Amino acid sequence: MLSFLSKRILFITLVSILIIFSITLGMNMASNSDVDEPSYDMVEYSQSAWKSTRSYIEASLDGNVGTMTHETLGVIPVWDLLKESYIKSMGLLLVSLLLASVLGLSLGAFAALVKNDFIVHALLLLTILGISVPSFFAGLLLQQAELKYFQETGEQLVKMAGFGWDIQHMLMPVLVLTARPLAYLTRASFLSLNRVLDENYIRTAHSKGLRERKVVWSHALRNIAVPTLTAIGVSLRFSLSSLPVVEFFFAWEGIGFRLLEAINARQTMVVVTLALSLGLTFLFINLLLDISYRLIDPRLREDEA
Amino acid sequence: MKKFFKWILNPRTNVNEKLAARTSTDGGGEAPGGSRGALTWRDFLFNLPLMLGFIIVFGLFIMVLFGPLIAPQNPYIAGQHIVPHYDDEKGEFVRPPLEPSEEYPLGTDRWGTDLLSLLLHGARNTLIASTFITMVRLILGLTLGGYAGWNEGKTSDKLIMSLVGVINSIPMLISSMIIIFALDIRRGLPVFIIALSVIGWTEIAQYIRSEFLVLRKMPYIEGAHSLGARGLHIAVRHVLPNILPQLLVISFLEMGAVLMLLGELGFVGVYIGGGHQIGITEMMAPTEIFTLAEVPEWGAMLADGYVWLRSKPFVIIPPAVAFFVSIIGFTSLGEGLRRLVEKRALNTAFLLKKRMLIVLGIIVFATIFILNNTGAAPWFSKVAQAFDSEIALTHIENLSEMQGRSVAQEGGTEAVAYIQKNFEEYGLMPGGKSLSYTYSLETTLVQPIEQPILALVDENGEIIEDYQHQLDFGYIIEGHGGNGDVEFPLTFVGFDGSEDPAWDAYENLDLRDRIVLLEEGNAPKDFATEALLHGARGILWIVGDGRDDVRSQIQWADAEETQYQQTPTLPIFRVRPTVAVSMLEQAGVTRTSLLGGKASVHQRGDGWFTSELDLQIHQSLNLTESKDVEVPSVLGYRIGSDLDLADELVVIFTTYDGLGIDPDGTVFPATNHNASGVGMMLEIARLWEEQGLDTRRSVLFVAWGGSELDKNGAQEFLENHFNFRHLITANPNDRVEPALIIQLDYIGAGGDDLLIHPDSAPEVIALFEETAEEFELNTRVETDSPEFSEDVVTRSVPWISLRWAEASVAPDEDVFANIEKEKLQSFGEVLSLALTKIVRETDY
Repeated sequence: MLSFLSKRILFITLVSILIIFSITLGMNMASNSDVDEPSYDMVEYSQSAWKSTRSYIEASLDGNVGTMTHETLGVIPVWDLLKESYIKSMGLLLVSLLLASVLGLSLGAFAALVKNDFIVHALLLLTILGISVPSFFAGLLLQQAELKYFQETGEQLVKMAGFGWDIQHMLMPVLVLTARPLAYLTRASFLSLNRVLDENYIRTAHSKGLRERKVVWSHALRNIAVPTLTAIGVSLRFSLSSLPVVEFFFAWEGIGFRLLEAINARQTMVVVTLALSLGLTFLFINLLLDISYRLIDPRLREDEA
Repeated sequence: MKKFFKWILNPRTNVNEKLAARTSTDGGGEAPGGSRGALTWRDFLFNLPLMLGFIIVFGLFIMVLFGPLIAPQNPYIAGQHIVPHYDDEKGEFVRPPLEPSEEYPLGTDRWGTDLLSLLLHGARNTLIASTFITMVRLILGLTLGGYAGWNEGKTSDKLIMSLVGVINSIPMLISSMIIIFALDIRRGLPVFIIALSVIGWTEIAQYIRSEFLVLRKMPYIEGAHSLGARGLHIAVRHVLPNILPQLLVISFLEMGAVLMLLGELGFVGVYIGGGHQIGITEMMAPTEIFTLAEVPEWGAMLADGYVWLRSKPFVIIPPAVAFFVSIIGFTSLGEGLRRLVEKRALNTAFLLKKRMLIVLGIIVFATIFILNNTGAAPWFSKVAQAFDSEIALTHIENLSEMQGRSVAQEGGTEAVAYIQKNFEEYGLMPGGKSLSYTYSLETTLVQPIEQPILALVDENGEIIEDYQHQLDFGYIIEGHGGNGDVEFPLTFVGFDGSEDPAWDAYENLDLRDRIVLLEEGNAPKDFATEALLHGARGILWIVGDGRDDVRSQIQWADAEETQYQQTPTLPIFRVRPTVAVSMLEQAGVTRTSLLGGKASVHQRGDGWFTSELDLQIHQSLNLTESKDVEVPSVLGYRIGSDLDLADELVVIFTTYDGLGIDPDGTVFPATNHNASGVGMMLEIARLWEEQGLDTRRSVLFVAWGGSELDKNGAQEFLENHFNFRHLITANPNDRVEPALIIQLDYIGAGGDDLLIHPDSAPEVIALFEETAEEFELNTRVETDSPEFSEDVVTRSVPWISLRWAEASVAPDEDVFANIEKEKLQSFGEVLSLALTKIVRETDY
């Protein structure tokens, strides 16, 4: 376990350095390609990117990645921007993933257990629609619905956009961000539970005379834990990808929103910092998932030995 | 259709179907990984996602192929169709984007372009882009993932997997944005393909790698190994066929993912080409600056609609729905196929068979066809082909009936009014100052009151030979040139000294009551004055054979000068060599013998000699008093729409005037030179207006007056930048500067080749040569007549001058009947296409 952990930490460090380097390189080239006749001297770009990567790492080890000039916020430390936006984003992400997991797993399990052909087919078709809905389209629909409601009744159900830790502000972005993970998790949990329920040990458990509830809870669900966690990991990846769009749509000043701003303003260091924080989040959550696989599934532990 | 579909999916169905009919009673209930039965119809029909996906994807395919044909409008050439205006009928202010209506089923965007057309045209660009991206992702994922899986645990595997780790850990939207900006978004589609592939291959690679890990250990692979097969051979022959079904599934799912990413990128304002900046000027409001997409594309439409996200959602809904529906289509097609693959072993061996080469070939050809017909070029060609020589011909006919359109006569005034009326009709703005269509050159003119006469007569005054004004001879008003009616014998004065004689060398010269014949180039330029002093009563200069050599001089080239019609005056005519030859024939001498002093010499001085010729000449000229007039040129302005390019002015010019009508009623219609140029210019202006072409550069159409004068306003006008100060663009800080000048002349008739003046700007020559080649028209870069070089108004700005070869004819032969319609049409198409490129493309 310890050697596994140290290997993974090393890997994460390496990946972080590569992230810093490649984003610095990309942003340097981007600022350069705004001129009329951009140069494409990759050697020169790489050298300067490597230099800034090293100075960036040194600076961040000192705990100070510098200040930035923001259009509306003025001159502020990059660190402050990161902290503030990180919390806003993670709150959104956490709520939506939690919602998606709870709802998705229950829906999937429900479909697998009722074994009604119609429900199964309808649900699977719905999940395809759910996976296919782009966040801007979902946001658009919700906003228009709210707008129509407001025009009809004169009452505002929820806020159209903006940041706030209350249901009024959070409902729409959370719903939009939930849609795809929800569909994906429903589907994944249904498929794995469906497969598990056909396995011999479930039949054995049934034939032993165990009660249905006991079979499902302690035999079936335990066995779908690993694929379900993997599915959550995958959902996290496309939630993170949609995050900037959702935040942009609802003017939620999280990390994705700030990233778009910084890319358009060609603020290399800000982009590096924000993207690195997202990258590290992703890597550490995956590490946590890997660790939990080992705790859940003894076979994976044996593999390591 | 159904057979074909099955055949494509499984060539063995025909056999299997019969077997299946016998053995299988139910199509659906088998466990995954169960019996490897045949595909039945029920597998397709009851596979809802497959059917849904198939219908949608098929619909999109049709849209890509035929969408642009059904589209009611063409966004490639459309500019701002609907300008914000007050609608009197409805009594309201109309300002795009317009709500969906009968005319615009989905409404319009902010330029008044029909959204349905944009959507139909955009399908091609968006879907082809995502297909390419998916293909590159598949290839990258397959090679890298396969390589890593095959070399599990080795350094290459670790390297590839850490690359996957890096790419996966940055949100795809962010990383693709950075790469797109890094490679310069303005370079269009290739940048998108590279960026979205480089960050998108990882999932496929991970999947392929895990498949390879399993397959590697399969007995049949080990068998192949032990038989001595090499790695690549095994991978292609044995592993690939086993993962093909899954690959097929992945490619459709990937297509959905790519579309999703393209949509999200578009929504945050990143789309193919990045668009260009445009300014909208409205009365009483500051100029608004917008970004307009170069090509219609769904992502760009999303970016455009974002502005009205809440207030006018109908702008953004069509592209958003388009993305949603196509993503559903590809995803569910992939899902459906996956079910098929899981339920029954979908036989995909056919994908590796030879007949697939045919299918592949068809796909490649279809792609080439679509790519060649996608983008702006084919639409530019369509605009060019809409050039209507019939209309140009009508203009030319009307103009050639205006009594020769001399600037000093009625015809010229009539022509100016005609051109101005048409400029107005074709939507051109006034190009002159103070909202006037004209720019006036102030000058001083004289006109003949009676028909100028030059004739060879006998002793009794009977005419032996009569010569024609403007064709055989013309008068000069410089110096003492002016009125007179004389009939005297002709004397040739030749010069054989090495230098012009000094004034005192003429002491013995006696020219009393003589008409003097001089040869241009032989006699000193100012000898006319000397001849007058020595008693001459008239002067004939033998000049060259060029078109303008014997043109009568009606203009005081410089009003300040006093070198015009000084008293006493005598008629001074310029005559063609043919006239001289016909006169000298009567006297029995030749030009060369006269010049060489070999004819009888009667007087001789230091460097000069005279030869009396036994010829009686009648010379008569009666001119009006000199009069100050304004010679108008007509200017029409078409404002450029692009903020970056609108300050570059393209000047298309030609001249409208001719020799006019002589006192005896002779009309010189001046048709090919240069009613044809005006007709061409008017038709181009009409064409652009009719086709709604959005010119990104500003264009000034000019019909100059004064082509038959020694000094016209063209040069003076073009070189003075203050003359362009009043031409506004959307950007109030802009000052337009001429960027390219195009001269048209002699374009209604002539030889087979198109002549381009060799001193024209090389890049513009190249453009016209290339364009002419597209229409299989031969071009020559040379001058075939001295006038061609003289006509060109040379200046510091890049210019080009075009005409047909061998087009120069005598003024009396330049009539409407000689105009060839095919010549007009082919020249018009080339010119229109080249001009469209010039006014539309960033670099032409």
